[in-house]
Amino acid sequence: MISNKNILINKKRFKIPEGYFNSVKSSSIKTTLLKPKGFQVPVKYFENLDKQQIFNRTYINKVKYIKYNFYRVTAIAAMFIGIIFLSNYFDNNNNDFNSDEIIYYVNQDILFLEDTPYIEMLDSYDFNYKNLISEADIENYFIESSFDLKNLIFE
Amino acid sequence: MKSELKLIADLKDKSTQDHAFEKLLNQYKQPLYWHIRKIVLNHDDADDVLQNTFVKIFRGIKKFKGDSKLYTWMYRIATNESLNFLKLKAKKYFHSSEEMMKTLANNLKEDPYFNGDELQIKLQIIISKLPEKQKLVFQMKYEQNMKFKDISEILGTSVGALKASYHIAVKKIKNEIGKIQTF
Repeated sequence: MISNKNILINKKRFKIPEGYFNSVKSSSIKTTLLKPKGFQVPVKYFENLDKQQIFNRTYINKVKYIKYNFYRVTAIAAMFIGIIFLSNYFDNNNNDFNSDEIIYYVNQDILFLEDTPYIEMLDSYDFNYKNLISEADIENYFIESSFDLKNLIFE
Repeated sequence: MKSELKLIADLKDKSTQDHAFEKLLNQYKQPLYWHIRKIVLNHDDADDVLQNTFVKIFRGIKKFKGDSKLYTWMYRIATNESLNFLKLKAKKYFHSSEEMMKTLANNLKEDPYFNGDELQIKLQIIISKLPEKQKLVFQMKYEQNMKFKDISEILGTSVGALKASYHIAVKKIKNEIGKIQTF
């Protein structure tokens, strides 16, 4: 068996041009690996992309966030105010008037009623005095009043 | 690793934050841009998403615990931002995500920042038809040559599942390209 050690191999048989590795920059390799064929960017795009642009965008995003939250809070506050206003409005618009308010309203002479509305408001039941005054009440009235019954009869 | 830890510490410290962020931006703006661009395809959208990504990185660095590598954490933010952006765009202007991706890939023909040939456009259309995970794993593995372990950290999927997705994606793309070349 022939040993491999006996085969003479010149390990330095491959040569490279002088200064080859100095000319190859890692950045150029990366860029060619990254850049897909056909795709291009505007001239000096990467040179012009600086941190200020990013900081400006961060600031704009913050302003947008504050604005958005401001509008949101304002909308919620307006909704609450609206709910409170409407609930008060409906509370004040109920029909629970007290008698003083009615008297005050009538005394202001705002209400002018002709005969017809009064008639409409009253019916025949209201004109029947028997419903209002009983016979016993009439008798009591005559007894308690100062009229002399005898004179009244003669008259 | 030491320099990364220092960078994270500097980003968290208010006195060194500005300078550290500038360093981070210069170091990662290109890789993150291209990662985003491959997902959203359009330059203007990629620019918008990239800036949002850096805003999120700047805000979230205080909460970064160092459980994962800084760059995988940033890639995760970029990926999520891109996918959310596309979801919103699809909701706003299209009937479905599939329809939107097809339209975006077709729009490359008129895109001033795309000078690929017909085959490149067709490849993009084929990629756009892939399911989300397959598309992402194909772009990260095939085009960016990332390690499955890192992709797993970024996408939150097991290495095995990612390998399977990648295998299926490559097979589908090969089949589709084969069909094109036959015609």
